Amino acid sequence: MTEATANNLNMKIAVLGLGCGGVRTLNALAALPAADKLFLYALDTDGQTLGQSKLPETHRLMLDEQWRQGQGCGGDPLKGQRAIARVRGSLEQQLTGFDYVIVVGGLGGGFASGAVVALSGLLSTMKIPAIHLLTIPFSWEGQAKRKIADGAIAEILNQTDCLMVLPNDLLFSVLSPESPAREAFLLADGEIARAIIAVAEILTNRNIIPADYSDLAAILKERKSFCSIGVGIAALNEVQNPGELAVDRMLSSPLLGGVGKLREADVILISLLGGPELSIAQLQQSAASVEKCCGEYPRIILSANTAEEYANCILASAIAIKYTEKAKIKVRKKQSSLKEQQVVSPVPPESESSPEQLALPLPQPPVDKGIFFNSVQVVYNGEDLDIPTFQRREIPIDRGEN
Amino acid sequence: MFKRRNIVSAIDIGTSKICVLVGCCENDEPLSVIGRGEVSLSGEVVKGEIADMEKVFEKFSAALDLADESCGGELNNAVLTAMSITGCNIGSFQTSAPTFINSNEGRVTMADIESAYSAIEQKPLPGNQKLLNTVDSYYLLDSVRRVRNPLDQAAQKFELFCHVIYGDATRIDNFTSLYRNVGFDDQPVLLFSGMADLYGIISPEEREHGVLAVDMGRGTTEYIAIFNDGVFASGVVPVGFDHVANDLAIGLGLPIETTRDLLVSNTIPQAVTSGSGIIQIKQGSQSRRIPLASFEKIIDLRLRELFTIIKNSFEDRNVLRNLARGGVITGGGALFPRTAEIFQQTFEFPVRTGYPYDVEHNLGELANPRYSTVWGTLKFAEEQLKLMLQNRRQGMWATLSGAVGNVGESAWRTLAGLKNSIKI
Repeated sequence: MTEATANNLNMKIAVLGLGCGGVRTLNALAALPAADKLFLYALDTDGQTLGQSKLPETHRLMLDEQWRQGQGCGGDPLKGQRAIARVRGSLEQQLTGFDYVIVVGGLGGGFASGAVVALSGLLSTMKIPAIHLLTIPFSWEGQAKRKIADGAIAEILNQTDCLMVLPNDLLFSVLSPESPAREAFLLADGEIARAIIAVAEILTNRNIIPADYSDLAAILKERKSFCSIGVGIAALNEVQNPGELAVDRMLSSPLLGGVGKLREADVILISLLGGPELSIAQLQQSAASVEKCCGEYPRIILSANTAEEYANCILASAIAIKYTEKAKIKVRKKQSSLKEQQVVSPVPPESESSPEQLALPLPQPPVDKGIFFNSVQVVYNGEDLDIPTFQRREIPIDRGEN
Repeated sequence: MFKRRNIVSAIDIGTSKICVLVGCCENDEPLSVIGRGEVSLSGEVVKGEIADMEKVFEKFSAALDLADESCGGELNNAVLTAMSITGCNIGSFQTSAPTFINSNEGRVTMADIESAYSAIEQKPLPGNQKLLNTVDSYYLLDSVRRVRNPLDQAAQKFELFCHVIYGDATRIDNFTSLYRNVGFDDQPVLLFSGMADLYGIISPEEREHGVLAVDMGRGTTEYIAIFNDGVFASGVVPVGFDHVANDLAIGLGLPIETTRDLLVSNTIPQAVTSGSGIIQIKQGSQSRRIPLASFEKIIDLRLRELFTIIKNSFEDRNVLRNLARGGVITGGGALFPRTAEIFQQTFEFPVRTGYPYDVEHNLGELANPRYSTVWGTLKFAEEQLKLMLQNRRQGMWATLSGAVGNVGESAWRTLAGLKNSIKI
């Protein structure tokens, strides 16, 4: 892994891999030549997971060693939050000077689900634009993990402008059921790694038709949405029309979930990246073949750029976003059902087809009005404003320790 | 040589304190505070409303005594007393009054403007509500031309667009009865707390170019939007900085006094700056190590919700795009640095912290956002007094100036030269 100052815009982008999933993704990412310009850091409390990382020692951050002794968080997100809280100062130092931070990891476990919340708060305080590219557990992993993931998403939504949640179910929707599990996971890690590259390229290359973080943030900010990403690359000498081939590969990308996702999307951010020799005809052909697959009235944001590293190839990537409702997220209702909560995250439609589980009400935490116990009740949108906001939104708080 | 002094006073009964200021306004001289009385409250007023009348009365009397003492007994000579009013009962709406021009010359006269104001004041309010303030927003001539000052303009019809602030009659009477019960015979001039900021905090340029002033006190948060010297929206959200302290107390299992102290002291910003990540709280012989992220999360959630509520109240009114000067945050909550940051993030415009201006020559530490309401109320009283004196000099309108009230400064500028613009 080499560290080089990134690209033509001299932007420094850090990629933080959280927990087991994050470390695996970074391993796949480190193997890609395009990742040379990114600064990769793996964070975990689990020594064994970090041991599998292919990053240099200085880029593997073992957290909370004094308290966890190199063990994991045991599925407790609060421990993950605390682990970040304890190294906040050094993390702040390490991240100072970066233009963007991409956070990757798998939600549902202890470390990543907790750490991502604390990290997004830290990044928001440091005013570093952050993109969260997180996966949520398979539907068969159980409701407990899904609940942890949903809780983390609900918290991050308040703190970040750019959150892309990729359901694991979607990853394997294009694979045959007989595919070996190990191969499937390697493929998934590789796909997420390519998605990171695609996002990084959108941020750093802006020389022909630019689209940047603001575009991404504007379409994602405070919106309930389904999100999918597709990336495809083709060499110029591979076929006569490499642009179309790159688009074809992008469309068959497991993270995109098929052409259907593009057709349903409300907003599609398409990025085409090629070498300096990229011709207008190639751009036109690529854009046209993407447009053919889009629905009738989506908002299409097109970005087309050139970079030296992509000489002799074309990289096509698409971020498809389908809003689940037109209104912005305001506040989560205290009495929200599990089904309502799931809409916050981009859950694949398949997982919503288990009504017997969704019908179960969540246990409501006790609410307390404290000093406002005896005061005139103030209700806004059906919520009692005297009850702490974190209680109404069912966000867990780490009370610390003696 | 004896010189008659014009004395005005301002009363602010807030959730955290009762503050009385006595001011002296001489011609062509800046307003000077000659007396000040302040008494802290601890639960007698909740969310801007009186919860314990007896104790509030005692503390109000104490504050008046302190103020009277500090100004050498001048409080009783006050020609005019203004009192700020807040609470969750305060509401507002935009309304208009069309008027057809009847004069022979076909120009808008003072009488036309007066009749428009009368029409607005006669509009029915929701049950048991009392008119607090009416402030003009703008005027429309012949349904097409939007003007700031319609006087002497040629037109066939003009419409007064007005912002009306009202409150629950009984709750407002609670405040005015306190004033009467301590022995004053006259009635105080009532002013919505949010409007006080327009006098003491917001600069004339900001009023002209458009600004949203948010006053975050301990119990309530008032807001008011002004553009081109006309008020377009205002309101009260009964959520104040005590809600933040209460949330922290509940969320982290700390006494409310501790969380209040934490918010007032510089502990949290210092922890953010130092990057320590953990705040150590001593509880008796033990000490707790609480992640800074927990504090930030609780505070951010509450403040973000508050500003989102305010923002949502504007969405229908299409007002925000006119606020070129962004926002001003004042009140005790403004002293916490994160408040302004979240205000800025929510509204996506520049935000400054509002300190009372023109207080250089005055008593004590008035240049503090905590005193923005009482200072603004005193400035309001000063302006009202100047108008009264001006009208008295003009003689013919003197009899009408017994009470003052409901027109914004811009309207006064327009109307004062000709006639009493003061609504009774």
